[in-house]
Amino acid sequence: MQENQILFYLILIFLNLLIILILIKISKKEKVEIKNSDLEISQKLESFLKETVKEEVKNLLTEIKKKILDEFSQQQKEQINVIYQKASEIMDEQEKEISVFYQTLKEKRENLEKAIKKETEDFIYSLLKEKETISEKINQINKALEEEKEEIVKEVRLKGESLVEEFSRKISQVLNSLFEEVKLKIFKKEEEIENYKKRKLAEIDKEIYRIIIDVSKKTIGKSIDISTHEKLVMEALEKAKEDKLF
Amino acid sequence: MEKILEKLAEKIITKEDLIFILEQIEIAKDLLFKQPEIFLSEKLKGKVSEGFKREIENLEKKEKYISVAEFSEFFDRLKETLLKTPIVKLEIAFEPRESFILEMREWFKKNLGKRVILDIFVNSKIVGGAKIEYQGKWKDYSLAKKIEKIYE
Repeated sequence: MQENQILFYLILIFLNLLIILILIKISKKEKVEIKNSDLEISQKLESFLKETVKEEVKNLLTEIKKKILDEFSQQQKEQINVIYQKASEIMDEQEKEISVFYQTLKEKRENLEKAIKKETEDFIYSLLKEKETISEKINQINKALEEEKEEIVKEVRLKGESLVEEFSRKISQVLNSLFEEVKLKIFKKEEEIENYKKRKLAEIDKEIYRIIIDVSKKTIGKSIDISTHEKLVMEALEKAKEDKLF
Repeated sequence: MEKILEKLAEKIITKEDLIFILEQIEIAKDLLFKQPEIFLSEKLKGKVSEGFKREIENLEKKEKYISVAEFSEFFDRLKETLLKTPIVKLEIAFEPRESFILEMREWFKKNLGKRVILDIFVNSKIVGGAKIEYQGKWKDYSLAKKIEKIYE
């Protein structure tokens, strides 16, 4: 719309200029004719006309310019208003949309919260239920264990008793064999002691005999005179001869 | 020479006598080749027993002249004779008198028909009698053994 107006004004200006040029042409032709016909138009009039036209064009242009500007300004204002209005509408719309979005979001959030809450509650409930089940199972296990324990205790007691019996029997056997061994050892030791006693007594006897022999030897040796000694040696030689030593 | 050899051998009764005379033979043999112009009996003076020296002197007188080689042979024969003489080991309880040693030597001569050398060892522990060893055989005829037999 603005472009059409500008075009309109430009066409108008062009037409004015064309009119002015035609007028100037006419005036020049008249002047020539006047000259020719000696009908001369005064110089004053010509300048007056020129000035007038010029002034008129200038005023017209100023007016046109002003009009264009006003028009443009007006259009701009209108357009701005329209834009503002549009913007306002858009903003309102956006606000509305945002509000709706927020509302939706809020609703979704609420829904989500609700859903989570529900899920959590369900989960807690299932946990509680699970706990209950586990507790029940634990109780069952405990009960089974208790029963098992009682069984084991019973079995252990039975085995223990048989073990104690076995152990007692074995201890008794070991003790018996030990007693036998000890008895045998005592017997052997007694025998050894007896032998040792005999040996020692024999040694003592031997020692006594040795002492007696030594004493006898010393006594006899001292009591023998030289001639007896010589006689004994000669007897020994005779005996050796008899024994065929030589 | 034979008689002198026999006389010298006759004088050897105990093992101590034997060792002593073997030493004197060695001395005499050593001196034999030193100063041959001097009589051996002269050279032996104060170096061997008087009896040994006297027998050498008798030999020199009887034989008139004995060469160094003959003397050396004489000593070798004497040594051989002595070393061949059998030894009787006697362990007795008392220190024997000279006369008893001679008596024993005579007994051996009479009963064995030969000369022996007596190796006498005194041990009072055998009390009396003797332990006799001859040519590897040994017998105990001591009183100590008899006493021990009594108490066995």
